[in-house]
Amino acid sequence: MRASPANDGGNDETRHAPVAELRNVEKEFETSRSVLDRLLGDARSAKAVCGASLSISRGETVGVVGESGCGKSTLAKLVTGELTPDGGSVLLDGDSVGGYPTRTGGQLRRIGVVFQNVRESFDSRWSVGRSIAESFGHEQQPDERVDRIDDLLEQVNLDPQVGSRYPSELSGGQIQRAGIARALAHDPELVVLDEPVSGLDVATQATILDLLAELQRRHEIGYLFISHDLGVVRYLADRLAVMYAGEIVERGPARDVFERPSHPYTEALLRAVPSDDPTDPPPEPLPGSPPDPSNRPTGCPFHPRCPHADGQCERQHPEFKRVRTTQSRCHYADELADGTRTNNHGTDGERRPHRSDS
Amino acid sequence: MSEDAANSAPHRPVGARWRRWYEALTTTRLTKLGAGLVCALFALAVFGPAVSPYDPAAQALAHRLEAPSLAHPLGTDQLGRDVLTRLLHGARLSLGIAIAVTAVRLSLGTAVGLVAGYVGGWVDEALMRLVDTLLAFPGIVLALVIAGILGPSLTNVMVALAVVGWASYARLVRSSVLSVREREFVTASRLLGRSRAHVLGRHLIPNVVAPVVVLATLDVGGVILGTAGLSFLGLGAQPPTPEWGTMLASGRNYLRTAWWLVNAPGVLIMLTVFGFNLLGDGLRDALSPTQSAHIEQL
Amino acid sequence: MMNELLRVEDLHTHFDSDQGTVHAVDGASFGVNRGEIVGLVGESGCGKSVTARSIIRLEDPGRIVSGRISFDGRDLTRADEATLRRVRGEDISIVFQDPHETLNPVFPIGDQIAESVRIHDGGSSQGLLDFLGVPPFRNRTAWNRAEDRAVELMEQVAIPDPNGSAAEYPHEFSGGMRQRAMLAVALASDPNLLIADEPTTALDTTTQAGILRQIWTLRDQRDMGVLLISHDIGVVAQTCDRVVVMYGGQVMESGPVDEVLTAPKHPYTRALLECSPRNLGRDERVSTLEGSPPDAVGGHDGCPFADRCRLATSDCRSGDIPVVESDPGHRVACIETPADSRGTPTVAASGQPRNVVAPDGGDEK
Repeated sequence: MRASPANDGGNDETRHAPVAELRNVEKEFETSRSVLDRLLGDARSAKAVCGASLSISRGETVGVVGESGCGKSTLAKLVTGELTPDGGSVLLDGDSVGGYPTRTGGQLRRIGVVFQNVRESFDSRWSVGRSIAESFGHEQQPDERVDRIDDLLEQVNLDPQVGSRYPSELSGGQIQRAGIARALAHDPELVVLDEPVSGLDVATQATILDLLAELQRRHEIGYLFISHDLGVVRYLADRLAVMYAGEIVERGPARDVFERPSHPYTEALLRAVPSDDPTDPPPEPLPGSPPDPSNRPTGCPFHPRCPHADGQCERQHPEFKRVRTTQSRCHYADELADGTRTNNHGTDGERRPHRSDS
Repeated sequence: MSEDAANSAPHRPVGARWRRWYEALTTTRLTKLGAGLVCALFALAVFGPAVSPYDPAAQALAHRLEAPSLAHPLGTDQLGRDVLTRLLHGARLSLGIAIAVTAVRLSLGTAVGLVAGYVGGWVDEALMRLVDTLLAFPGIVLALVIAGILGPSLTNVMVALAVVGWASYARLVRSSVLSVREREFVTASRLLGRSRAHVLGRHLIPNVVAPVVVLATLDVGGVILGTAGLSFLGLGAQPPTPEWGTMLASGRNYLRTAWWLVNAPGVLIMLTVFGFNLLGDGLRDALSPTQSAHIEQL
Repeated sequence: MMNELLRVEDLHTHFDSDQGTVHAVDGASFGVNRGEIVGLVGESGCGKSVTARSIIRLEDPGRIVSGRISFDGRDLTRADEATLRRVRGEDISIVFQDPHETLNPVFPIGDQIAESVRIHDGGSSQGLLDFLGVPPFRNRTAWNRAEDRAVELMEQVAIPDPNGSAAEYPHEFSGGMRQRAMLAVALASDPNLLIADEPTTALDTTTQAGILRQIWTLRDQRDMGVLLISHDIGVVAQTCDRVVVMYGGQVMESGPVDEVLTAPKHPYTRALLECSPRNLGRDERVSTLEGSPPDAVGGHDGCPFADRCRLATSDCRSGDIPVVESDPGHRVACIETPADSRGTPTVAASGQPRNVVAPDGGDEK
């Protein structure tokens, strides 16, 4: 596979060197863990991430989207150091790093994390303020800490009083804000956000997204934004990586990927988002399910679900192809982007049934 | 206003820290009864001997085996000693032993459980096999053997009971640690570069404390029973000592003529064990996750 | 309206809490017709789930204080326990958000669907015996019939290889398939009304689209009424015929989706639509709702949205808010309903720095 840096999603202005970079990272999980299986050499492994490359710089948001189980959370954990890659390398400011136990304090402080299940990431026995203070270095004086906690809470538009409350006493939106405040507590350059607004209702989602955009402008932080909701990613992401079965299948400037997807999977994801306008065409389901990670199909991993697939897709694993500003791992990327390739089986076939008007 | 809030921000106000325990203790009537019994017992043990006009060892052969009366509410024994006075002194002894033994069990078991759960690997494997072995033995028989080998004395009974009982604490703590250390707040702390000691002391131990306290409360009753049992068999406290089990053993000979000699310590042992069990059950119900989740929802 | 299946009229459901009486549903009225999908949208805590639970009379620990719920001519608020059990078993089915919680992990999916078939057409005690399969008590033929019916139902909800899948356990199913299995369980009793409480919130969008499409198909095949509860406007816009927008336990606006979601009349509906990031490009700022959702303790005098509404006047804060039927079937509960519904801004575009506590910063329990 290619060993080139991945920062070539059309974003030519090199304002900053990447804070974090993934080069061809691989991560496997063993699926059968009994001793007997291992002795018999039957330990099957599931490839959660295979050969993914990605970079995130200060001040930009890189969105990673895909269905559940596509490896996007694993990718995030490789960046934070919660997991160690089995192949490829993770670079922080150009230095190759492993999992968190081997990272220096300085390296750990470059990355802030907002966990997928924020409430669970706060110790229920600790006040919110104390949890936030855990992120501070040891050098600060107690009264400085108190000021800093208040300051952080104010930055995320929370009343400083929230600091003395307990996680169970906060609403969904409040705990999400507290989670963001904690991720910012050690002045990171990069914040990894794993599904930061899923499970929140529209109005709260909007305020959190607005807050994230505001904080990015103020501190010039880079975001690695993991989400399954394209509508949300669309709002925040500068660059986008679409993941399927552990691979990045398309990447590029978010606007271009959204407007002119050059991979059929991206296209399917976009078509599945229900529009708020009832006159728009209805969302289209993507039939089938992602491949079993321990038993990947030959050729392009998406071919069993792809409406455009043919023999070549079954045999040959496509490499990245440049289509205008984006890069896509599809044999027919050019035709797709131009809209000249037609479906083999019509995905537009099932139209919305008539309404029974009252 | 913000200053007040800020000062209290990193730590919970001291009162609130204990409120949860207080609420746990007063949720149901049975728990209140248990807590009341235990408190009464402690009060008797602490103040009783000071109030009582008799000396627990003073013999008064002229008054031997007197039935309960106003002067001797629980009668006198075969050597004319006041039974109530002896029981009150015995309460000090029995509660003291029970608490000491439970404390040793708790600290030993918790330490082993923490190490096994947090270090894992072969250390875990070795420690848990030891625990399995201990748990496979009938405890009181093992205690009998140990006390038998070390010779009859109260100290040896304590040693025997402590050695026998720590294994269940180790098991409980280990399983709690295994589940807590997978929780995301532990990951969050590790990703900040916090040391293992920090994670252990600040996150793991506080989160496994509740079930351990419940087990310890239930255990105190068991230890009192065990001490009394071993003393009854002659392996523990020796006769002049006013220990409940010993009193029970020496009263046995007068079962037909002086029923109070056996019944007074017997009833007291029963009430004590009953009190601690009710308290422990109540604490367990009040502190179990489902219960607190239910309370949080409302 | 013709062929009305469910009618909720001025429903009030209250809860008692330490702080006082919570008016979770505070005078909601709407209806569901046969063969119609009605969406119920609103923020969390607006009373939409409590409304659904009240309809099947599982409002406990809350209580219905006043109002009428008429289903097929029967008033469910006055029905006795036996009638309610029959209604829940045969006429109204409910599907919840999380199929993990509602499917029993130790029995195969097929058996669980067959069980609900048996409970529906036999006495429930015999159904249980059949389900447990104790040999002398099990009604073999009836159970086999139920199993066949289960496979049929799985086919209807488009579970691939229904015969094979019937023997699988819930953990072997993907999230979308589990939700389809829950639909099959719900359909076992041939309900006239299906209540779906956030049925796709836990699913991927690719799977969500399939489930929504399944709900249309079932509606068309069976001519059932569907009440779809969701906080996702897109889901409602794309699936429902009519929409009911709830806020603070009251219905703010209701009507055909084409009208309500393209030309909203109520300031709250507009605010909600403006919040959705889907409607924006990268450079546009998302609008946020200022202020906090209303405290449901003690109920409201006047419009519950008045405190966050830019158009609110003193009239909005007290007394009853009249419900205006602007177009046939399109009802708005607002005094200020402006003629030009797209014109005036209702919420602040949040570009300017704010020092206020966040909207969700103040909603204490």
